Amino acid sequence: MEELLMNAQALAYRFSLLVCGHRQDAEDAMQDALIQTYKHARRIRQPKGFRTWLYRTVKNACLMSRRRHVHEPPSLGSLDEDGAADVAAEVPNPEEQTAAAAERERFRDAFRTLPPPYRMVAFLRDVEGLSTREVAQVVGITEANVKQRLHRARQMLREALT
Amino acid sequence: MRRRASGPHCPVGLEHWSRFTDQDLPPDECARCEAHLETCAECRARVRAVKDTIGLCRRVARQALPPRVKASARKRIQALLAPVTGTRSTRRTRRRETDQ
Repeated sequence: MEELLMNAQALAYRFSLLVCGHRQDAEDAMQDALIQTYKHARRIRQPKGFRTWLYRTVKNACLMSRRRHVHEPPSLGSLDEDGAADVAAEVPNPEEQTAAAAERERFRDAFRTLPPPYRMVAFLRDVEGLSTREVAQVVGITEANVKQRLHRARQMLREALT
Repeated sequence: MRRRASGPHCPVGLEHWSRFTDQDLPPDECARCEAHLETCAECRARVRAVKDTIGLCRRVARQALPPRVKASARKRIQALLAPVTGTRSTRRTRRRETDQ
């Protein structure tokens, strides 16, 4: 159980940082995701479908957290909107001052240039490795739409990285 | 959305290479792509670019939690699980007391 909850925590953190793009949301999202996962995991009988449930839950936790914080800085946008959300710049801590950290930073910056709906699909498919069908279930769009967004996201990401 | 050709002589749209990389094309289409790749360096580069982007996503983005975040997550989990352990142990103690 502890490992499962830790996985949910790691996922919520990655999602907050890469998809929402706000470090201050991560704490709230992690807390919400933890409680939801704990409640669900205790009564789960069939592990099939748990993966998409977990991603959906984390996605909702992050969106809720974003909405709670939305009035704090005036320029922060909602993930539901197509416009790019304002992204808080990350300050790397001293132990992250390595080449790998620089590459990570470069990647995150590029990833955050993607419009939110594309960012979410690219995150679920290419970062987390979900199948097209799973991504469609988590996001609530058709598989054809997932493929279209994914293709555009990869293209934009490639352009942002070069 | 209109398909954009990969190059002036390329028979397939750019989106195909994304789908090709995901092995999401019908077998005959896949074979056509493979044949095309044999002769087109430009499209080979495009496929490589798609693969590199995906590889970067997997490698860079899926990092472990930073130590400070991990420690606070662990603490949070333990705090959540602690009352359950306490309740069970209390129940066991109570049962033992009743049995005696």
